[in-house]
Amino acid sequence: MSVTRRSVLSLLALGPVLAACGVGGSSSSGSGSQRVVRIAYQNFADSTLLVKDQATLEKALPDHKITWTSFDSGASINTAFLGGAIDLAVIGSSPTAQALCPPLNIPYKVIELLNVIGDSEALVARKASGVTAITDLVGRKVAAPFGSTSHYSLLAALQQAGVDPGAVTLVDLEPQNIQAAWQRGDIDAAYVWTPVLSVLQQDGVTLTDSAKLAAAGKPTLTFTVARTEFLDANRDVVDKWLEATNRAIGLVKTDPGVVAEAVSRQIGSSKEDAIAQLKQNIYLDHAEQRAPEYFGTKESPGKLADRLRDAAQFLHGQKKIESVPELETFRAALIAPGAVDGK
Amino acid sequence: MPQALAEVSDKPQGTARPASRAPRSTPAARTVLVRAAAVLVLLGVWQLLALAGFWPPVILPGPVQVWDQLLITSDAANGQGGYAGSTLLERLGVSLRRVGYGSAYGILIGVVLGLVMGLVPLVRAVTEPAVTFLRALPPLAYLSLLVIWFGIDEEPKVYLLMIAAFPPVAVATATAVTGVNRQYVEAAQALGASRGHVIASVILPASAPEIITGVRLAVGIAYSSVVAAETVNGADGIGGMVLNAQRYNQTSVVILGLFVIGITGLLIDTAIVGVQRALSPWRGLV
Amino acid sequence: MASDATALADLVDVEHGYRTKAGAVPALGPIDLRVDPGEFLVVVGPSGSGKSTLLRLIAGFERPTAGDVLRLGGTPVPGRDVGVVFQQPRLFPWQTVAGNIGAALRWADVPKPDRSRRTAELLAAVGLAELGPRRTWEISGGQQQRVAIARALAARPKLLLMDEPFAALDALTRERLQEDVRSLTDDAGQGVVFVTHSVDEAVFLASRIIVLTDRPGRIALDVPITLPRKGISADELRGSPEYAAFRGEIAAAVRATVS
Repeated sequence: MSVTRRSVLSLLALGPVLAACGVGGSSSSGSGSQRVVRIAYQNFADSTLLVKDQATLEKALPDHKITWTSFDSGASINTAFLGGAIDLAVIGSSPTAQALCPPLNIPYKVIELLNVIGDSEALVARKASGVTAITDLVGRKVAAPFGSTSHYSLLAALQQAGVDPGAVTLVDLEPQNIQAAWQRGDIDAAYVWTPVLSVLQQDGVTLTDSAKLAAAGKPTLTFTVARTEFLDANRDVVDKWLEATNRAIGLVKTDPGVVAEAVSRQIGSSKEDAIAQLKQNIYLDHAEQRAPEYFGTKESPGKLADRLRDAAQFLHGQKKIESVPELETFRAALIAPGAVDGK
Repeated sequence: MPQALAEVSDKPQGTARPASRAPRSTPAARTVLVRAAAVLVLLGVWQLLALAGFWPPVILPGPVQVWDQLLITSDAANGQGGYAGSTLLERLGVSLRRVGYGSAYGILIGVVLGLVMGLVPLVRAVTEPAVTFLRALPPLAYLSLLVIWFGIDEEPKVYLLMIAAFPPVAVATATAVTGVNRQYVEAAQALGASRGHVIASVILPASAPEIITGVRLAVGIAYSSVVAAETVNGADGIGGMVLNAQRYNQTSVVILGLFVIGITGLLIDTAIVGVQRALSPWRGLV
Repeated sequence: MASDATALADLVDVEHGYRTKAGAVPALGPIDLRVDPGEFLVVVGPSGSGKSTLLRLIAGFERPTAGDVLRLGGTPVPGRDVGVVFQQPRLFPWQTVAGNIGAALRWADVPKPDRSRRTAELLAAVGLAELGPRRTWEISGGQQQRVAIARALAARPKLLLMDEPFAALDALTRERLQEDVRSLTDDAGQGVVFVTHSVDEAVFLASRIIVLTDRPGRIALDVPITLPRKGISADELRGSPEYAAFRGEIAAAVRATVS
């Protein structure tokens, strides 16, 4: 699922974020008798919601105060990190890449790959528009929520098909507005995620999806990131987190019903929807994450750094970051889960 | 002039006023200076805070950085056509056009509805709760509905601004119309004015100052709603720029956008006050 | 009193009261009154005697609670067959001086090409020929009331109703305006009903005076004033023994109403 999906209220969310930053410095973990762990998450179906729902971390760390804060977008999570208001966060590859580049240069590390976005995000064209291939999109109106993983994937898909993005009319719309515009015939195609995606697919042709793009080397990913200072001072907490999320990732594969129940409780969807949404992503346990395709090992780093740099280059093309650092910078920001896991 | 004696009797009342107005220009100039100085002091404090580095520049950019963004986003030849494809000026034009249309429709509806409300108590009793209801709704809340009904082009944006703009005009007009001095109406009736004449030539001009006060409010509300309106396919406006920049933590662009909206809003308000003075110079004198 | 011509105003058994929380308060009547063309009728009475009410009934702003009011043979409604001058000039501040008169001419269906000429004539008649372009609040109170009179005369009404029009003005201005009104309303056939509490004003202006009693106002005295209306200066008139005699008679009647 998307990692940077924002709601229309995301701008309004900036206020509380800034306010949180104002007090963030004083309440950083480690101060006082009770240590505090501040976790940022986003409201979409993911294994981490099982950890939250079952209070796994709270039980494992009884002498810690765990706070979970919901965010609308990766951008607002990055803002909160800048103010030192967050220790751990569930965040997408696009905002992560941005955070690792100037001017943000946020001191955090990618410690885990929670999922690879699969066919839960796809590019669909309206049947009535007559579009059957990505190359047909020239001169057409295509919608995506700007700044999201879908936006990134749409541009990657166009690039892959050799279509100049300038030849396509890109429209910035929220998913629910994409659905409305689609039904009115205002747009010809959209790159969007479920549940809106499922509605569009009823009278649409799927041109490509994020699973195919991932296979072609343009994956969109969901990470856990940890504030570097927090990570250094709280290895034990991070270990408990990784233990809990690894178990949850395993459960998505072996017993998705349990995870779906937790997800439906947390985001208020039906259990069926939760299962459907969970199944559309690809989940890798920590051993699989250490494969050369992803984190790799210390001796031979995996492709993940290259993927982040790809995302950074995309952002640079959009003038959203000042420059793209060398690959080494991205490698230094990756810590394979096994390395802290100790297992 | 209650205690005026015979010898000062027939002196035109008006002569006293220009005289009392004239010396006000010096304090007015001083006010401008004081305000300019206050702005400079605030800018200075802001720059010092930014330089002190309590917060990273991504959270609190200084005025210099915001000024740099002004230059960058105004430059069409900077490789991204200003900011994400449009210069600041183009964006301002697009947003002002939306605000202009939305306000114009809103004012038209507000004046007509307010007039009817003020003249027919029954209509007022029925529509006032509805107008108050609409007034209480945040524009973002009904934007999705407008998108479902009117699509993603200019219509939902203009309609959103219209819905935001008309209630203050309607309320101000209704109140003004109800409050029109009965003496003017009687005088007009005694001169043979029909009901239509009374409305067009007495009630509307007598209500004009208060209606324009409603218009001031309406244009302000419409302008402050433009960011909400541009969350839907509005990337080409100034609000769209603020939203886009916020999404990528480009705080200096966000602040630039807010300044542009604030300052142009101030200018528009000043212009409306000027129109009010020109249209109803008797205000406060009669 | 009897006349074959249609009366400008004819009140038969008229009573008027106001509803308050404490119940109906009678303000006027019963009263019988007929105003004929050419008459300058001045209504004098103490405060609260219903003078203004009488005028508002004739103007058509109010309906009597009992009895009949006829104006030119019909039920009175505010309109251009009657001119009304109020205590306050009630000029429209959103119009210039000329604009105020122009509006009255427009409402009187005077064709557009004639209006500017008529406006100039009317302003000249009240001695304000050069004040047309001025704003209404830029001119003095006396000038404002002159404009109000010119405006009320714009439609050439058969009946002019004036409700204490000079009460708010200073003494000098008031006397000058009284002289103007006395000569302005000498038109054949035009009638005036003029309300005042000033006995001097009444005797100077009137061809007939009625004195109203204290509330509810009834007619206490109804006398024709036989002072010459032409060929005599205002000062001569005010200094004449006849003027003094009428003045004494009316003043006594007014005093009697409040005793």
